Amino acid sequence: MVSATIDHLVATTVLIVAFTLSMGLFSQIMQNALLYQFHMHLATKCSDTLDNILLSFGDMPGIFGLGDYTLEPYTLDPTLVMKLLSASGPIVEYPPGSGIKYSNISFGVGDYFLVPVRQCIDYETAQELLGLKGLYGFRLSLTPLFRVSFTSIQEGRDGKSLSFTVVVEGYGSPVSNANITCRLLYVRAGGGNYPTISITSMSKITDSNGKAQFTFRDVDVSRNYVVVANADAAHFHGVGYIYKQALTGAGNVIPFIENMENGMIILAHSYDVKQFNKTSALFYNATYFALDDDWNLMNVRLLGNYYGLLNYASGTQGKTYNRTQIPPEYLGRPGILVVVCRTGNEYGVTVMPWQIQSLSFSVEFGGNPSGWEWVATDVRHVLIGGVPYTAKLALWSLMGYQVARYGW
Amino acid sequence: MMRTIEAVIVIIIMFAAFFMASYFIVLPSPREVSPMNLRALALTVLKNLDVNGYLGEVVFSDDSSAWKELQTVLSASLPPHIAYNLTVYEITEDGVYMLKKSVSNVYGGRVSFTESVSYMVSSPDVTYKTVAQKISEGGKNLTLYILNCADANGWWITGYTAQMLAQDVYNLLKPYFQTIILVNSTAQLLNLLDGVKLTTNPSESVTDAIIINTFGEVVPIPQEYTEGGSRQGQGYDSDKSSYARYCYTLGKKVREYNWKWISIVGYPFFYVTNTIKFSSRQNNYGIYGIVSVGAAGLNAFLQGLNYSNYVYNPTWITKDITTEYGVPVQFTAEAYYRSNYYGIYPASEQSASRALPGPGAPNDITRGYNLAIIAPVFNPVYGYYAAATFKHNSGKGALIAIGLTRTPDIRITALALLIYYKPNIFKETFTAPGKSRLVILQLAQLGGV
Repeated sequence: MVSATIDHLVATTVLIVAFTLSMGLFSQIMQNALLYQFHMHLATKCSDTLDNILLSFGDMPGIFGLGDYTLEPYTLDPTLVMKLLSASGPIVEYPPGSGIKYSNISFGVGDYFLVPVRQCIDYETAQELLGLKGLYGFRLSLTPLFRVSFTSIQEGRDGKSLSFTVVVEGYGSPVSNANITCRLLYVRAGGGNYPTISITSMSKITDSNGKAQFTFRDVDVSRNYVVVANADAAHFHGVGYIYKQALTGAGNVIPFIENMENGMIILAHSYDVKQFNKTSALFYNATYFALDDDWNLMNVRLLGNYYGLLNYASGTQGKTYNRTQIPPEYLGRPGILVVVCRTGNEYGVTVMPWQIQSLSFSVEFGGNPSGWEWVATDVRHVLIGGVPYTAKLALWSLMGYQVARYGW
Repeated sequence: MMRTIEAVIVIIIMFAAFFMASYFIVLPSPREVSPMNLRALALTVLKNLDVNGYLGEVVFSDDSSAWKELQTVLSASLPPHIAYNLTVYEITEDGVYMLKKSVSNVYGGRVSFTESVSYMVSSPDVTYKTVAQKISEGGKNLTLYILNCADANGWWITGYTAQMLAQDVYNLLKPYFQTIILVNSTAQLLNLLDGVKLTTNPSESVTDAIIINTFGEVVPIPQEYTEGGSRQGQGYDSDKSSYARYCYTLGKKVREYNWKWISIVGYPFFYVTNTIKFSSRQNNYGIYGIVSVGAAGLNAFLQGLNYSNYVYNPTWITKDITTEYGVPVQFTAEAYYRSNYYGIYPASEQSASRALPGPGAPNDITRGYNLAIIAPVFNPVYGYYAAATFKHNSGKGALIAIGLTRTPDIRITALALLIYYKPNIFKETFTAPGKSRLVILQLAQLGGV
């Protein structure tokens, strides 16, 4: 009787232990399989969402998309791309205390792309229009495929020559045999207080390392200059640029796109934007170059106060900011705004693209993917105004492990 | 002792089952869990290279420097861990594919290319082209709307998402329509139901349009038509707690605007979907954002199409031909001809489990709702039609129902539409030999697991 009871107890205990163990093992396999399904679903959703964004026509209310029905699929509308609220730079308020805010894509003290937030599409609205609100977060990155950079920059001792090497690289390798055209915009003192710009250009082909050496002679680059290099390979374009110096002792001039619809631009003293602690007066002259179909720079006369005096100190001559405007007939074309400023014998320069591809600016739009359990990514190759970009979407579930809500 | 031995035997069986199951359950590698869509990447690279005719120039060129430039640009366009192989075939007069050239960034070693896309290019010296006649009615080019709502889920489209199907059907039918518009949200669908254009495109016309529902047995519903919404009376039957009322409204709209409503697979209007409104409801199969309407949905839609009074009718009217009669459905002679004419080749024999009843079948919808059957894709079986256009006798409004078994073959949808409208294809010097080349780009990911 006792041995039968012990037999029962041992058998039952061993069975329960074994059963618990095997259930644990099975559930581990099941958990892995479920996670696989969730992550796979996320990857599929990411791919679908990226196509939705790139192929949908976003020029009408109720839709978030960067395509245009007049363009080929995967060719993005540059105007819509301009309206993406940047996730990379902090929002800037200008004039201070006005409550008017600007989306900020800036890469340094001389490179600005500030567009009014009220004309931008924000992340939350995009989530809602895409049907992702409360379910998924995402970040869209548009990065130019060709990186055009400058090395070995040397200015002649007398300031009358400039040499440098342009390097063109793609996603994974240097781009050989690319046709590089460099436009040198050099600053001249001008007749009065306002500095002016002259332009000269040169073309070369890159070698097997994607490099091309340029030397400009008999040009006065002693005050300041901007070099814009355009690379063309297989009808794909890439743009890079350098300038001698952005700042003067009194700061520089910061351009704000006040209205994307009519091309109104505010030119503000950097002190007024709380960027630099220098209040001296600045004489400035803004020059606008529209790009033609062959990427030649067309000097277009701006409207309004494209030159003038900016002076922060109250009660003195000049204003803290002025307004200029891109002529309406050029708003549909890409372009580059170059603002040269002067205080005493110091010359500063600021550049701003009109449509991001004209200076190969990149854009980040959406939420922050860091810290989420699983982030799926996918990429497409897109064109923005003839410039190839990589469109990368990172997508994550806002419900942790789950990608679909459970019913219990 | 015996019980302990029995318990040990049970444990052995249990663990044997576990090890056998483990042997068969092979979890994928981490790379497969969240794969980069290499096919889409390859296609976009080729497409963008061809935007200015560059790809055509190179693949018809014997200039080695042009090929080298193409190789450079391909290397620059793809991430460093992606291997590629681009192969160009010439299509001869006999239809034979002859290898012309191949470039790759892989030399030596063995890479298994996992994804490939094909792209046809024509010689830049030749101006031949095929032009598809745009689908029109009464001299007016028709607009195609494809339901691609991001805030909706599909059912019976297993293996696909509605967005994938929308893209595929867009590509298939693009040559035949002047205007194709993706309806990207249920808010846009609401506009469409109100007769409001979705774009500023002057050629868009809501009236006489064609609407393809890519969500399978599910139909997207705007929040306004749901319970508690501003149009609940037109969308929700509170007596029966059913969204059959919404299907009835859809039927009326189809008649009012003279739409051709296309259901791509399964039982039409069996569910409604809105992932925001129905976020906590599911279709009894675990897919959230979907609410079942049942067979009442199709009956209500047909009542609306016929301008009959709304009556809740849950009678199941379709037939599972393949199971009940043990036969597949077969292409009609017209379907064979049009399949060749348009170069769309789905299987000519299919399984049909949701065929609609026509003359000779019980619940004949042609008699009950004043419909005429036009351009069937498959021959009827005992009066049941697996894919056909059911047009209202008033001349306004039609339902194109593809009652095949899942998963959907979107080519059947395209074929059904093309058989109905019969657009012409104008071919100019189409037989010019050696003037077309097929470009195949294969990609593989290197490294990792």
